[in-house]
Amino acid sequence: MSSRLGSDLHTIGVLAGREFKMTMGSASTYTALGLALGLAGWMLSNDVALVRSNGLLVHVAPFRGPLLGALLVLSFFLAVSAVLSVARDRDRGTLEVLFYGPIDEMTYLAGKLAGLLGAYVAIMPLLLAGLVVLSMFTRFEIGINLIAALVLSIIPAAGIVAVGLLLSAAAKRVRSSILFFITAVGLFVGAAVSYSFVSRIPVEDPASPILPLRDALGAVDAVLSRISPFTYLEQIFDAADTGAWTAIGGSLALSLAGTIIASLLARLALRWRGVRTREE
Amino acid sequence: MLQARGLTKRYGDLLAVDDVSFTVEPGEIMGFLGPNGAGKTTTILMLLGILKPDQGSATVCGEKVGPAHKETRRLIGAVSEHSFLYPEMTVVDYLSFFAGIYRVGQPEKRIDEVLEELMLVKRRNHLAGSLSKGLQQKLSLARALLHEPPVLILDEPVSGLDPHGMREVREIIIQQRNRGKSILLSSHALSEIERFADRVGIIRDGRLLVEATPAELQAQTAGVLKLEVELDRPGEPFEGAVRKIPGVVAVEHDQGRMSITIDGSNRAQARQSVSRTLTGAGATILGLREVKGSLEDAFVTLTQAGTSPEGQAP
Repeated sequence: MSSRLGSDLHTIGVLAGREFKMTMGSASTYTALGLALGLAGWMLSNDVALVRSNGLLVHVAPFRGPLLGALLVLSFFLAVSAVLSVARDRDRGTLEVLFYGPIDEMTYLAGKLAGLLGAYVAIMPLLLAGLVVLSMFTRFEIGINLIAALVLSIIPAAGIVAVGLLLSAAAKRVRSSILFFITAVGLFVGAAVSYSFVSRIPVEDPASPILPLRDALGAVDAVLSRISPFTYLEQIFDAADTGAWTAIGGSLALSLAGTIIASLLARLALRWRGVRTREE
Repeated sequence: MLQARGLTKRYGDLLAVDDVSFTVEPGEIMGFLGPNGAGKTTTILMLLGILKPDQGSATVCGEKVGPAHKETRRLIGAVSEHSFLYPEMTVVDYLSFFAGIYRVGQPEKRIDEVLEELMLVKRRNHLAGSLSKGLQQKLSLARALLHEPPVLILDEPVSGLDPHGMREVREIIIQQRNRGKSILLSSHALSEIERFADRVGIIRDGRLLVEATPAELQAQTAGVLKLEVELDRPGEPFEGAVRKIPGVVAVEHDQGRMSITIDGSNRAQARQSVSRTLTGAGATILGLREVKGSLEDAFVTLTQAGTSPEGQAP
């Protein structure tokens, strides 16, 4: 049993190593990092401009928004990488060749997950270095709580990768995996935007059809927010902002549970879809 | 040793593989033939443990093969019809990656050996995606041999190779057989199979029609007459008339040369019928001769005529 576990861990390590090298060797990773830092810099420069014009410190933790924004960009990139990965392997036949060897669905997916998360961890020092430079320019402090939140963001990032792998495993080809991803993002963003829009409509008549619509959209948004791993990333930053460590624990636990559920569903999807696109 | 016992697979109403059984002994090459869509690939995927059979089982060296038995797959080296490489990896990185997956001992040494064996040493730092189709196929074979498995399942291993490459790969396969490996070889190049397969299995409509040595198969087609007719003009217009002759199972033509396969007829009568039909259709016969039956003739006869001759699989 232990030798089998050892063998599985070894295989996961080899697969993760390849995924890690591929991600870190790709120009798109550094483009995403550049975009993340660019967004953070832009948000901070707005704050600096406000301080200069009003003489006020706008936020207690001025790096909260920029750091969260940067991590959302990187997580989004991670999600796209995961969405493409399984479908690309299936499309070009390498998935089938891998399964000629001692690999099953779970070791394969765990290898992908570990490799992409490894890349996320490897990007963190680069992100942090960029943020330190921004801190020196703006004279805003990053704060130890936000650095802790940055480290803890690995857990929701795992959930984001797992959901990406699920979409990819369920898709027959790369183009359908992209379509699944766009649909999923459209659903989450669409629900939030619709709810926000309908909530702002002033309603005076208690019999107005706007009210049940608002309730329905609110319920949909609440459900989707609960299953979105991006929500947990945000919650961790909110909690870190106020030092609410119990809340962080809850978010991390839910995030971990979500990762496990998404991984198990991805395994089922991969088994259902199979390793090849071609039929005899 | 590779064993298939009653392998059966359905896709909805389609019976893709129906009760296929055979054994490939150590030190033996079994040619696995069949027309497109006959069930070859489905059978191979079940032998590789990628597809779960609805009925029956496969074993490698006594160990059960299947999606739930991934460790057994270490005993198999497989090459598929298409190379399926990581185009962005170099040859040596690709082999190192798979050496890691199969936990090959002393990987660098083994990679050097395999590269030497397959004459890929000069290409070790080339990107897999930049190789010609033939070299990509060789790299796939290198990957399959890397962990020195006792069983090789090779689906079209010479596909895309030039005659030199085909000879090299053929020699490697024969070497592997001489080292005691059980080799299942699926190929459309029947002359290749005829040259070095110890036994041949022919599958059609999911059923293994026959399992015999190439010589036995050719003997089974002893009742089949193959005529080569030389005409004064292209044979195409006469194909329809010739096909109407009773017993004709295949007609091929290449300019003024027509090749006709006739099943189980009286030889003299068959020659006469062909001669009379062609002359009657307006052709002038410049020459007519009988040719020795090949594995290809046996394959065509068995897969087109739908006969189930002696030696049918259990």
